[in-house]
Amino acid sequence: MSGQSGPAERTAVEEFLSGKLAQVNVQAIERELRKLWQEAAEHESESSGKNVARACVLNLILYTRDHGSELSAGNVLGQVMLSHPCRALLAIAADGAVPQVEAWVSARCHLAGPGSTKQICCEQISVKAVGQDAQALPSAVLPLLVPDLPVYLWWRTSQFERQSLSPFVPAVDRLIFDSLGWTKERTFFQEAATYVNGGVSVAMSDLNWGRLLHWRRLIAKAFDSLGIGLAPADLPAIESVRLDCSAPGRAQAALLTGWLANQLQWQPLSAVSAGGKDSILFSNRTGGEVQVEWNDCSRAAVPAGNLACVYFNLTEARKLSVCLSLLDGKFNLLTSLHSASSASREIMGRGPILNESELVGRELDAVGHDSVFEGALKMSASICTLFGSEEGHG
Amino acid sequence: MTHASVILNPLREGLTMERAAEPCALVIFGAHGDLAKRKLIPALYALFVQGLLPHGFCVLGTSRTKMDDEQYRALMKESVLKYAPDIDVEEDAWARFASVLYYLPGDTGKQESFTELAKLLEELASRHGTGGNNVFYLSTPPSLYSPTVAHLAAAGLAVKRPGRAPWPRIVVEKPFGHDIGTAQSLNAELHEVLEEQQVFRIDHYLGKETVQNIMVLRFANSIFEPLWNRHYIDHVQITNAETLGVEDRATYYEEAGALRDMIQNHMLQLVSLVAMEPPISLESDAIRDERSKVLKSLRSIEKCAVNKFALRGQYGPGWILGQSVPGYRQEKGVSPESHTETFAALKLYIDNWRWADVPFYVRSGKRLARGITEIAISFRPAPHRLFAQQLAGAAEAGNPNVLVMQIQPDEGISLKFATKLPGPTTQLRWLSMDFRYSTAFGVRSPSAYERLLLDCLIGDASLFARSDQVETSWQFLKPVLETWQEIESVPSDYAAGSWGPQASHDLLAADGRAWRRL
Repeated sequence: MSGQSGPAERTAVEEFLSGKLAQVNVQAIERELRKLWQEAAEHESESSGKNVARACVLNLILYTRDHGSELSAGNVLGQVMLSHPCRALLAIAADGAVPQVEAWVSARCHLAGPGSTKQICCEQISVKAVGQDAQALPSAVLPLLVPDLPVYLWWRTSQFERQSLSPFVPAVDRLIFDSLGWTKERTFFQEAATYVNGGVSVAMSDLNWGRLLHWRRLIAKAFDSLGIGLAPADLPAIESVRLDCSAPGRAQAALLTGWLANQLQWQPLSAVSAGGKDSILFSNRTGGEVQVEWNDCSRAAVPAGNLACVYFNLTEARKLSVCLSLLDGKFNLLTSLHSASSASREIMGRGPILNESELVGRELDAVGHDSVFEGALKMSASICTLFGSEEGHG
Repeated sequence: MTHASVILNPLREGLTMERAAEPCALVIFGAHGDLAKRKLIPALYALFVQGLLPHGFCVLGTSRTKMDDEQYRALMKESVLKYAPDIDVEEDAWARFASVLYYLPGDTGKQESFTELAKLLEELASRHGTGGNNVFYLSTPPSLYSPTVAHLAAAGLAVKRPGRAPWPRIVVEKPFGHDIGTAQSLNAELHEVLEEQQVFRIDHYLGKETVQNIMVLRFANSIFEPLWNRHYIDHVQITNAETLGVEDRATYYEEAGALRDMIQNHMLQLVSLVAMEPPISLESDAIRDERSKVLKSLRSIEKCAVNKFALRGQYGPGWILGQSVPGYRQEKGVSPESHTETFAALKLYIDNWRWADVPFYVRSGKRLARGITEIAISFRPAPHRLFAQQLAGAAEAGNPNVLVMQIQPDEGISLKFATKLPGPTTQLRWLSMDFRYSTAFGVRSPSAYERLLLDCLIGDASLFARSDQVETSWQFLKPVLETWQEIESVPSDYAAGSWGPQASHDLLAADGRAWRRL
């Protein structure tokens, strides 16, 4: 290749570096990409003396098939790439009468730091399979993985579609999904749990589990002797729990209940839905009963599907509550303990509300299986099984 | 998180909550001083908003300045806004923090002040449920350490509790003594009323992310440790360069100088971290034992050979970042005849199996060309220099592989290695592979004081200096301090904005080496 590039090539390179999609031949994506990087390196050092450095520490596949979600998927992928240099593969499945597979490449660049002239660039490859068999998309996407780097599959769709997911799974180290957006959460938990039960080595991440991190921390802390006045010995004293969720969507309630039950070795006995309320009966380790309720509530500023409050009733008329409030992009979780024998006590947890790309970023830092999550997921699936089949719950 | 804590509370499994502090009160002596305003209160507020402080907690500031709680709270809020721009100060969060912030005017020279302090602490213990656990942070001039500790003991606030949780605790800022004699006296006075586990000697360098990462880099990766010895490492350079002058610390600095201010503590702690053997566990004493062994292995410098191993300099007028700056002796509060060194460099040897004959070059100075602190591990050249000719043409010919741990600013790690230039001929070029915390992790790094204050509240002393480390480092520097004290000549001049006196360059040139160009 000549060191002097013409105006047409310059424009193509500038567009490539600016993040604009360049359509490429599906059969020769790697070759086309290599050519663009080479031209970009020459163009940048020629025109501005700036360096373009490519960085890649992992492979991230984002799968989407929901109508109209391509643009938002591309945007959120761009955000993730700022903090996690990777080869990003946007896998789009779409319905259509005329079967075809198309591909585009683009670079995502940002300056290495304040005052730096060095651009750190990652590459994004978008592959769209229209009206194709479920095997078509993975067959085009999986060969594009950078060897010997971890592979994360972000299943960004409101349906689990085992048929579409299964071809990806053997090549993937971690499967990321978000139960917040699930339309049939009960079925979904059961589907997701099959990947834990089925002996597949893929590690699982649910962004909704990430959203519950502060809830879990505060609740665990409340039962620490260093916390609010309860102690680990009070855990068997839990008689009932009520979880209020901002309607619609009860996936967070299911996950948190799954976590409590799994960690505290409660066994689910029965589950009923009536009057917009879900009730589950557990037996605890000592054979006592624990009643758990999931209720809808409307609480200002708490987005749909998010927990608003969790109330614990303990023996000796003790009441523990953990309630969420949101203000200026930050969350406050207020934990209060009321009992007849002593003054009320409170602890507060605060922090920024993480957006989708930040939640994904956190999962990209995770290594290996999260046995606590997987235990909670399996328990949530068991609870959902007790409810029986559903038709668009929530 | 320990296994035992999960058994006790199964809800803790998988959650990073192990670093929980017991309820306590933190008393800051010198609460109106610079350190409290710039570092301590911002760090405490940052810990508070992250929910890392215990449920039963309060802060009690004390100093001679007369003011009430409200005035102190307003002053501290101003400080957080001014000195910690990376922390959001929201009204409701600040209000809750301020509600546990108190102030008591007092004179550390008078026992009555401590009686009053004890009374107020008792009151705060019942108001905030601190359980009577106290941490006393001595953010005062070192001359006040001994009287303060004695008064605390007389008031019943500093007591030994052998075999029980190490409360109360005392945090002491550097300098820990002025020389070996004063360090031993200070330690003896502290040990008179407190156990060693109750004493936290803070060295804020040890709280920095990159410094903590030294152990991780060495002992969590299998690729470095096999090379981390005299067979593969040619020498080590540790540089602390500041562009700042003496600022408003002339009174202290005139007495201290660069050797006492930086080398005795920060620089020798860095040497010990780079050179230590793997500890048997992550328990604080296991780590401190290994660091201590390194300091004990430092080859003694004979008084007659001090000039071969140590040198000093003092900055004259010059230019820093386009600004004309005065020389040290023209600074406010500095004697026009001052012999105080503003630059010190040492060549050290660690006499043990791993490091025999590997020089460690250490330098620290004020008013240097650039503000930077780094540790550079220079590896030996390849044994058979197959590409010597091809490298000879490169600008940095002969430079070996270097692993650099940059501590400030822009914390990170880089590795320099040779690679072939593309083309039909075999031309080589040195390249650097960089990792920067700021770009690799999109999260705010906690300040060193955040980390260290939390460790102290938790009772983890891993990142604090132990009495034997302090005394060993003073003992090692004794001949240098004495020689410099005895010699009439003034330190060599260097221009502000340069890289120190010529003697510093000569120190390495005599060994056929050079300081890295920073």
